[in-house]
Amino acid sequence: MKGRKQDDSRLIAKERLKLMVDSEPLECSETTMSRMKQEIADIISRYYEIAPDNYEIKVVLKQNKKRA
Amino acid sequence: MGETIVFTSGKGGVGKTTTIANIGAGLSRLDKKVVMLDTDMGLRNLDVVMGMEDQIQYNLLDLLDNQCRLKQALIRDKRYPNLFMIPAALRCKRIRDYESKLYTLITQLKQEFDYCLIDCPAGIDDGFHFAISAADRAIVVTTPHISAVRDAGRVLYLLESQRLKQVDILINEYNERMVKKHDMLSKSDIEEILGTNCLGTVPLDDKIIVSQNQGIPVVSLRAKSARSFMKIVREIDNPKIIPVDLNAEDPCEKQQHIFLGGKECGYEG
Repeated sequence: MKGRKQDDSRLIAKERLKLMVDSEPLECSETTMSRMKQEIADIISRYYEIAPDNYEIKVVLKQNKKRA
Repeated sequence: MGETIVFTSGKGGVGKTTTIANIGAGLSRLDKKVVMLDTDMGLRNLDVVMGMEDQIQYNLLDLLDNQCRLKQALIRDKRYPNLFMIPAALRCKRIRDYESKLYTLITQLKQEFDYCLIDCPAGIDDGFHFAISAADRAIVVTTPHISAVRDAGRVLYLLESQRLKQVDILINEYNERMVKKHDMLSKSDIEEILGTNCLGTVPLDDKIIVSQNQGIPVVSLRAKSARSFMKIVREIDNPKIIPVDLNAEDPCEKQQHIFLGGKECGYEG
């Protein structure tokens, strides 16, 4: 956000929409998602030492890329 | 052989019916023969926007049920002799059972009309699936509202399985001033988010309310939204020709556009 005023609502909307539109088809229950994230974290922790509060896992299916 | 275009949006109130009425009228101004089908059963509105509500004798469902002949269900516009409309029914159960009949009807209409425009109901329920079932291409109508863009994304995802020839978006209620101030999603922002080409934008315009009060399309009036609609109409009818400003000073640039179009420039500025 170089030089932009902080309340640039257009960019906020864009970021929110990108996540919403991209992840829509992945909709699944809270428990499934957290289990999936836990499993991914387990795999990563085999290779790296990660503290429980020091990582973030986001699952994004790029449906628009598929369309092209 | 005509082309069938479904106008859909997911979210209600983004201007599907207004858009279809004006694109229908605009195409007929270009001497195309156009029929508009209202598939919004129960909440039909296209007849009201077109000022045809007092001429309805039969509706789309009567036609699909063979209760009337095609000629009886078609309402001709008073201003544009090439423009016709088939109104929606006021009630309908099990709409998806009619999909094959709709397909037969559309095939028949495409023999006679250059364009068959389908007004899709809001939502993504049975009515939506019915409306998109017989389309060749789709135009997803949205506005810069975050909720409308999100719903457009959802609809675009659902349209993917239809294997349509072409899918574009159209943005209503666009406000250049707000876009410049970074207070509104721009055309290219929305194209990027949705990964889909935008045919054009239409500004918010008081004249739309005024024209609909009178039951006439806004393209009949001198209005800023009328100019935007006509630009989009030319884009729909002749996508290979890049719009040329005939008043442009550089003749070389004009020449280049005609060449890129690959056709003789039959475009009227």
